Amino acid sequence: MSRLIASIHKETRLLLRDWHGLLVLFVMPALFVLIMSLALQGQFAQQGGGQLKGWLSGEQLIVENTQAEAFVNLLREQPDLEIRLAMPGSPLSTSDRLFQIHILARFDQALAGEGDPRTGVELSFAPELGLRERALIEAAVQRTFAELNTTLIAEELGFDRAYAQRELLKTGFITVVDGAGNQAATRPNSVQQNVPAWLIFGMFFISIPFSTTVIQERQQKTLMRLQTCGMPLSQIYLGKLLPYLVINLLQLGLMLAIGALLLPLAGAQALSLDVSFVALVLISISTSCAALGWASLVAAVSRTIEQATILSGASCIIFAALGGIMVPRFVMPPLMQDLSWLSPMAWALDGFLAVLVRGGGCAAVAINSLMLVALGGLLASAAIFISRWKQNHD
Amino acid sequence: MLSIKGLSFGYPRQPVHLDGLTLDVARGDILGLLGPNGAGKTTLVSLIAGLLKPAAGSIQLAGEPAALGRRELALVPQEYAFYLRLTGRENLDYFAAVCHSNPQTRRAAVERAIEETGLGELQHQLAARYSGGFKRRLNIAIALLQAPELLILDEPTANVDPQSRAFLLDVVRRLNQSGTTIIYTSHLLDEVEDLCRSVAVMDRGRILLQGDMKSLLAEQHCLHLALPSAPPAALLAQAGVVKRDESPSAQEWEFDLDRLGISAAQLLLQLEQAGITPIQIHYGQRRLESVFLTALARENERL
Repeated sequence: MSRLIASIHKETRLLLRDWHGLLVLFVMPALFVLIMSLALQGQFAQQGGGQLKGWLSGEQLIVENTQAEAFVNLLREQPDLEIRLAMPGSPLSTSDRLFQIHILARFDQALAGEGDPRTGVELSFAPELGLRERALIEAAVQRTFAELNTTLIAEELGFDRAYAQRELLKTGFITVVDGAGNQAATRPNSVQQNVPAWLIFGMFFISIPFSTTVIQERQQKTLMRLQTCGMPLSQIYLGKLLPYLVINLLQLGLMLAIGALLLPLAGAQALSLDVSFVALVLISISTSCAALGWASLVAAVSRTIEQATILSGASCIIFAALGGIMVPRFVMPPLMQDLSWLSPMAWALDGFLAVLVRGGGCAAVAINSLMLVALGGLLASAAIFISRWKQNHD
Repeated sequence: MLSIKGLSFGYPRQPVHLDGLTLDVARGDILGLLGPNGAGKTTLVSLIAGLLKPAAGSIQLAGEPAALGRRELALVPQEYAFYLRLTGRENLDYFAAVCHSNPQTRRAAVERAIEETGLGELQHQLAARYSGGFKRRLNIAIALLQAPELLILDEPTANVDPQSRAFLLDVVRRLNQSGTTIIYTSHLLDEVEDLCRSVAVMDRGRILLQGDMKSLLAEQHCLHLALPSAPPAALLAQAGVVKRDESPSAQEWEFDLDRLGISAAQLLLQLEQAGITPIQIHYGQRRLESVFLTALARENERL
């Protein structure tokens, strides 16, 4: 036991004196979280049900007591849309306003069935806007029109707007279920996605400093010296891995702090930490186990530091691309979504999202945690087996 | 102290093998283990340390089979086998904790190692900032933490200045005087000749020669000559003629009379006939380099 404690103490000292390594492990994922959360904020708003911004124009708007004005008022109540009066020459752009609703001069007449019905509203979109968003906007405008028209019919029949909504539109007929009833369908916002995603990436990135250290010690015969002093290879590895587990937990603390405290200052949504902290630590430790197992394997199979650096870096990027770190899984096509489960980063991210987005507890992350720990154990065992084999065969 | 009998070992896909190797090292001896690169020295050391498992044969260390983690044995690799980002003291504290569970024994071992290797002044400096000589001292100091009965040193003075080399050799001598058996591998044959009491020459996984240093060097049929120029080509073409040194005024040559098959008088006559008069003549004492090269040459001839 004293050997293990001494090894942990030694490894911690070495880590604290390796400023380059610490920068890679803490600053890099922190920067990724900041940059990606802010950069993808708009995209996630589109994908995740946030309001779509558009212009409103038309010469009828200033005339009071017209149906056009009533239509505009109803349009402003639409939860999916955020509209603003257009200035002359206002451009459509994905970075700001994505669509334009133009109320034509003959809106009231068209609504009353006088003349061409196509003279009511014109809808135009920014060229970059996706088909899903176009359909969503069109549906919102159509719904507004239906509500206005139904209200007018109801009023003609002597009923009020509330009656029209309740009995004619049946607005309460469809219930959207959120939370426990429909957990898997809940989508994260930019911060909820990017904080755990780049945390996981940072955790797996320890394979670079870890494997470098192991290979250095192997080349310098320090590992051999420890073995001749009677220290088993498994204990040598354990003494090295445990400080890295602590590093992974410190990464968790830093990334959560950035998500909860720093990102709101930059205009992003704050990461809510009103979640199961135990579940969060559980999935973090499990992710760390898988990352450390992978790091051990990279160290065991690589002969040189250069090989280990390339293998670690490339594998992290591939795991991240496949596992929904760089591109969220919910925007991937179905085949890629299925393939993403090949990456342990996907298992980890799914676990983090279960806690941070869907409010799950330990039970919600149990399977993912088990898979990650099992993988970590398997990889670490393989690493020790390969190290022993190479000792006798190389 | 160490008894190796019929030891065989082979790495797959590699030419280096130990082939029925036999070697004995007496308690209290300093054995110089010599051999060209690839001779199998490192493999042999790894087998003695228990890092590798022999295919055949036996290794007895202090009367018991060699195994990984035997307290009687300490290894000093040629590489700096410690942590450069730790201080000398931190390195020693760590390796002491690996070797000893008792904190008092640990502290005493660290103090003793620092004292014996003269690391006192620099013990709190990062090992990365040590000179080559002090790195070598630390490398040895770590091995001393175990208070080993058998110490294996692999080129412990490589790339150090003469002053540090003298100090390190002095440390090794003192350890030996205090009862530690030492196996010393080096390519610096003068150093081995000066330090070791016995020597073993190995090549291609076999021990070619083993014996007491004095008796190996004291072979009578060897003539050392300082000549004003090179010997005649007819002599040079024969095995047993080795150039030892060269200065602007003379060349030092060693003639193995047994191998040449002539007497000292006949050799001097041949040189006289070639117009070469020796500046200096020394008879009856060989240098280790000559013993080493001759052993290798005989092995090459045998193959």
